[in-house]
Amino acid sequence: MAHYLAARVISVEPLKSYVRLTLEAPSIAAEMRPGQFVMVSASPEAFLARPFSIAHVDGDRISIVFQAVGCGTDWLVALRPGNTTKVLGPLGNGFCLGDGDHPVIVAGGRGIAPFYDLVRRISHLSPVLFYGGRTKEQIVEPEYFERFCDRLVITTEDGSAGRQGFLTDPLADYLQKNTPPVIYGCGPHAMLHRVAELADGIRTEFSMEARMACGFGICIGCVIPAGESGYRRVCIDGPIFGAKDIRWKDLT
Amino acid sequence: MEGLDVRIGSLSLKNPVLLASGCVGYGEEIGRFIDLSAIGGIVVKGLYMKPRIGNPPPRIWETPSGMLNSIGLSGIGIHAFIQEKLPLLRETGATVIVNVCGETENEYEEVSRVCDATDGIHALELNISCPNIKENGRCPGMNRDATFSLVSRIRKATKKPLIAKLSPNITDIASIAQSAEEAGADAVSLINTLLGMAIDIETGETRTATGMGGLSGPAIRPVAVRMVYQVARTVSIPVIGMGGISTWRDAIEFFMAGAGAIQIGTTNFINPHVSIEILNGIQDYLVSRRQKLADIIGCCHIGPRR
Repeated sequence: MAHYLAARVISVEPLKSYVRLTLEAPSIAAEMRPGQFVMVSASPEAFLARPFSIAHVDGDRISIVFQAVGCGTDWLVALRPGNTTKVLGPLGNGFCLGDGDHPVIVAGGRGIAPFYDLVRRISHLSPVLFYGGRTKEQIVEPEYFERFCDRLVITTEDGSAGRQGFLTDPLADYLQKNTPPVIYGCGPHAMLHRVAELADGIRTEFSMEARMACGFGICIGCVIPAGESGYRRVCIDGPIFGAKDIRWKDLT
Repeated sequence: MEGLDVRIGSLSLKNPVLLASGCVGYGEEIGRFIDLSAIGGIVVKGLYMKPRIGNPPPRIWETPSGMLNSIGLSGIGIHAFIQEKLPLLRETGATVIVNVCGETENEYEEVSRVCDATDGIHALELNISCPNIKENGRCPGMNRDATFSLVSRIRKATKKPLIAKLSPNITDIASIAQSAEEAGADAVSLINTLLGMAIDIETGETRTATGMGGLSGPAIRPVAVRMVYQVARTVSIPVIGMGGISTWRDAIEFFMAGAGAIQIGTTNFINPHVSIEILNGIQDYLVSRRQKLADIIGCCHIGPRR
């Protein structure tokens, strides 16, 4: 059951290249599962709300981690404690939490957002996190993830943090020696496509992104090519999809 | 509240607030937020005989006070609707109006006959106005003769109330409305989306994969109010107004322009409860002014008073 409410802003914190917005949204916090998202109204000027993965849940509060990329997200960054904004959620299917040891998590840049809550909930399974960014500015709070993961492998394209290169390189090495029960992924489509190729039979749970108008299935605007033919709505058929369901070559 | 009921041909709606086609799917998702029996009715997403996968993404783009969409009338087809979705809608007690589509007059007629023969479908809204992007945005509702021909044919195919949904992408919408009335429509609904386009200036690419899209939202509201005004002065059948209604105040404007009922479309995307809020707002407005809905329909006059 999704709720539509005016959420009070608790804090807005810079996180290197990103921003964390914490909101008081009790009914959403109470029902949210990892991998679900919220639609957040982002200024009177931006007509549509914006979709964001829910990162943290703490009591009555939820937070989102995002990058300021346009008028809507700029407005969210300018919010101050005590302001309110409309929030609709929790939305989407969420991750299936498996029970095998050493699940692998693959996060590219701001694709780390849905894993804040996931790692906390599956820490007993000793997850292995591959976390990549262009520079160290895109690797936020590695110490948080270290607390909940058995292993944290960081890569940056410029070598400013962790190993230089793409995260798919160490991931490929890891998958040659290990067969995890599941690979969770979120990040750029090109990265996820490469991870899908490497997964080769391993169950995958990828959090997909798309422009959305409604977030709950009625506008049919956020579709991606999935299944044998046709499209599926990211908002309600996802945002979590198995890699084998996505027609990667048709994905723009 | 009494005095809110609306007649469309033989159909009586309990109140004048309807959910607009293409903006609420087949009622399943929006029905998790609102009681569908509390509003006047739901016009489900346009249906052809067969399922359609719709256009490739990107399908939507935000614009100032609105959005462009190029969904491409994706849908499950009339038979799957009747089997899979209609039973759920009937359980809610909603008044169900099917938005009838067709690539040919034959197909429009086939879908209409199926609707006519199906219990639980209360009325038909003939979609003569959805811009077909492949045909440069053309639709039957852009031409008086095509409108007359299609509406006449569907009139013979159904005894159920028949609403013609008009396109704003023409010069004289009142003349099209007149054709629909002459052909036997019980009501007209307007406006469908305005054809629009947006371009990414970094790449030169259009923002939707089909180039053009349909513009909706508050951005089109003054155009819609004007067209409702023109049509309501021309025809004697009920006019169902829509186009960017996002608050009860907007709804009142449409009534004053001459609409006997309204549809809520794009705003459902932002606030799934909005139709109920608008209905409550209309009631409060009428109560506070001790008026009935009929008192304000078409009551606007050219102002300001001197």
